[in-house]
Amino acid sequence: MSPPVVLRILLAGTFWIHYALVLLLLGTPLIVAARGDGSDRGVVAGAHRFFTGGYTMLMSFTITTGVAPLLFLQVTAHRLFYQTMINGRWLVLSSLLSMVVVFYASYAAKAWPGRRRMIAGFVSIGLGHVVVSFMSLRKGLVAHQDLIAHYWAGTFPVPWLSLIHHAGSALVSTAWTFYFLERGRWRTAAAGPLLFSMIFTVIRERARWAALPGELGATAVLDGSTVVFLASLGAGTLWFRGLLRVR
Amino acid sequence: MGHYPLVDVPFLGGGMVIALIALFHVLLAHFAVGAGFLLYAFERRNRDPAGGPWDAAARMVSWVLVHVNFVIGALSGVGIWFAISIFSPDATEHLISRFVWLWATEWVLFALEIAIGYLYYVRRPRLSQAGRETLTLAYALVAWGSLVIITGILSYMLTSSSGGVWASWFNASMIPSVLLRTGSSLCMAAITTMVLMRLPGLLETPATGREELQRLLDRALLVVGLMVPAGLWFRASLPAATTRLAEGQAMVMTLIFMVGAGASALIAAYALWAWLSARRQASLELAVLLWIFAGVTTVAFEFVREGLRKPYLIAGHLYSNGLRVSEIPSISEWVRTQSVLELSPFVLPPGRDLSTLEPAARGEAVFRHQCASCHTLHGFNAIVELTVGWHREDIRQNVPRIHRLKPYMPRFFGSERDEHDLAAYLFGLHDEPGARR
Repeated sequence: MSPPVVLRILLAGTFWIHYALVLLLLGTPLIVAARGDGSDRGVVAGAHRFFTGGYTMLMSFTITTGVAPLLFLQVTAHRLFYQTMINGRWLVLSSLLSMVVVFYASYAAKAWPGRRRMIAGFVSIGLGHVVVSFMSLRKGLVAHQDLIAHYWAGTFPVPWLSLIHHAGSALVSTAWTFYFLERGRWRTAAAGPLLFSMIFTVIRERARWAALPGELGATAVLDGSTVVFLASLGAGTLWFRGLLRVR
Repeated sequence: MGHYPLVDVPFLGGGMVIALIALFHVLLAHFAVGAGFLLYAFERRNRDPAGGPWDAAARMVSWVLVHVNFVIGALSGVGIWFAISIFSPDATEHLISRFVWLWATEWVLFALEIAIGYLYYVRRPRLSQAGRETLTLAYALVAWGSLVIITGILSYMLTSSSGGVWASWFNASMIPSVLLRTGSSLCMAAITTMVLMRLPGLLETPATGREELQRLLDRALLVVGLMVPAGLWFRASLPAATTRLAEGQAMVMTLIFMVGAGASALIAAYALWAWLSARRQASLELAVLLWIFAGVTTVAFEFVREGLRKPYLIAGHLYSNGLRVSEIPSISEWVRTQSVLELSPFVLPPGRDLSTLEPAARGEAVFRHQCASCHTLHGFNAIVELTVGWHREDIRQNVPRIHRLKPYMPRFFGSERDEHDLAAYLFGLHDEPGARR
C-alpha cells in the first residue's frame, strides 16, 4: 500500500478534473434550454454548437473520469465508503439508470431542432442535477440502517439547495468556457471549469467544515497571471470528509 | 464478519443483482475488446485499392461502439462498482486494497480506450490509412490490456495465492482465463457483427462485399478451437475440490456448465462447417441464433466461474457468508461459548438488543448473518423451499455440518444456541401462510 498522502492527492486531483467536466456537463444544457431555437452569436451559440456536437463525448469522459476518484475514495475511506454506499443503496443504483436516460436524451437532442431540443436539454439538466446532488449528498449520510427514510425525512430541503448550488456553479463555469472559446482563447476556456471546480469545492467544504487540518497550498496558472489559493487536501473527498465528521 | 449491514433484495438477493449487472456488462465488454481486433483487421484490408466492405464495416462497428458500448457499457461498469460495494463490501474492500495500483492502471487503459475510440470515430474520415491502422491497433491493445488486468484480479478470487501483489495477480488460473476471455471476446465481436450487418441500413455495401466480410468473420470464429486447450488448462489450474463442483457434485452448476459447453460446441460446429464448405452468406436468423449461443456460453461460463469459488468469495481469504479466514482463530472461542450475534450489531432489529429477543427472532438474526448473503426466503435459492419437509431437529443437526454435506456451502459459524435459534426460525417459516411443509 502506498503512503496515504499520495492516495489522497490522487483522489483530490482526479476529483477536481471530474468535477470540472461535471460543471460543463450540467451547465451546457442549462444555457441551451434557455434559448430553444439557439442564437447565432456569443455564449449561447457556442453552447448550442457544443450541445449538438461533442456533448455526448464530454458525457463519456465525465463518467470515465469519475471512476478514478471512486477508486481512490475506496482506498482512503475504507469501510466508511462502503457504509455510505449501503446506506444510499437504491439512490445510488437508480442514479445509473438516470444517467442512461440523460445520455440518450442528449443523443436525441442532437437530432431534434428547436423546441424539442430545449425539452431534451431540460431532461439532461433535471436528471443530471438530481444525480449529481444525490452523489454529493451521500456525504451527509450517517451510519444507520434505516437511512433512506431518515435521509428523506430529516434532510429533505437539502437536495434542492444542493441542486441550486450545482446549477449556479455549472452556469458560471460554462458561461466562462464558451465566452473565451468564442474569442479563441481555448486555454483560458479550458482552465475555467478546472479552477471553478477547485474554488467551488473549497468554498463548499470550508463553509461546511470550517476548521479542518491538512490543507495544502495549490497554485494554478491562468493565462499569464498567477492565481494562488488554498485547496484542502481532502476537497475531492466530499463523502470522506462528512463521514469522518460523523465518526 | 458482520462488518456491514446486509441489504435485503426481495426475491433476487444481492448476489443476483451483482450477477445481472455483471453479466450484462460482460457481454458488452467482450464485444468492445473483440471489436478492436476486428476494426484493425478491417482497416488493414482497407489498403486494397479495389475497395470492399471494409470501410463500411469499420464505420458500422465503430458507430455501435460509441453509441452502445461507450454509454451503457461504461455505465454498467460503474454499476458493477456500485453493486459490489453495496452487496459485497467485504470482498470489494479486500480486492481494492490489495490491487489498488492495478485498478488504477486498468482505469488509465479504460480512459485511453474511450479517448482513442472517440478519436477514431470522429476523425476517421480525415485520417490517413496509416493513422486509421495505428488508432485501431492502439484501441485493440489498450482494450485487451484492460481485459488482462481485470482477468488477473478475477482469477485471483478463484485461485488466490498468499504472495505479494504480483504473485496474487499472476495466479495459477490467470493465463488460461485470459486466453479464454480473449477468444470469447473475438467470437462475441464476430457474431455480433454478423447480426449487425444483416440489420437494415447499418452496412451499406454490395452483396459481394458482404460475402467477403462474412468470410472474415467466419474465420475469426475458428478461435473457438483454441479455446478447448485453454479450457483444459484452466481446469488443470484449479484444485480438485473446485472442479468436482462442476463435474457432478453441485447439480445446478453441472447442468449450467453442460449448457455452456453445448452452446460453445454448436458455435464451433458452425465455424468448422463454414470453413469447410466455404459458405458465402448467413441469414439474419442464423446470425441471431449464433448470437444467442454466444450469449448463453458467456453467461453459463461466468455463472460456473463464480460458482466454482464456493464456499469462498475469495479463495482462502473470505467465505461467501462474509467470514474472513484470518479472523477465525481470534473469534472462534468467543463465538462457540457466546453467540455470533455478539459480534454483529447490524443484524439485530432496530432498537432491540440481544437479551430481549425470542429464540425465533434471534434465529432470524442468525439467518441474516450467516445465510442471507446467498439465500432469500422465498425467491432465488429460497431457504423455505430448500428446507421443505425438514423437521426442526433435522435442521439443527444439519446446520453445524452443512459444509461437509454440501462442499459448496461455507462452514456455519456460531454457538450451539445459535444453531437452535436458527432451526427454530427456519422451521417456523413453514408455518407462514403459503409455505409448504
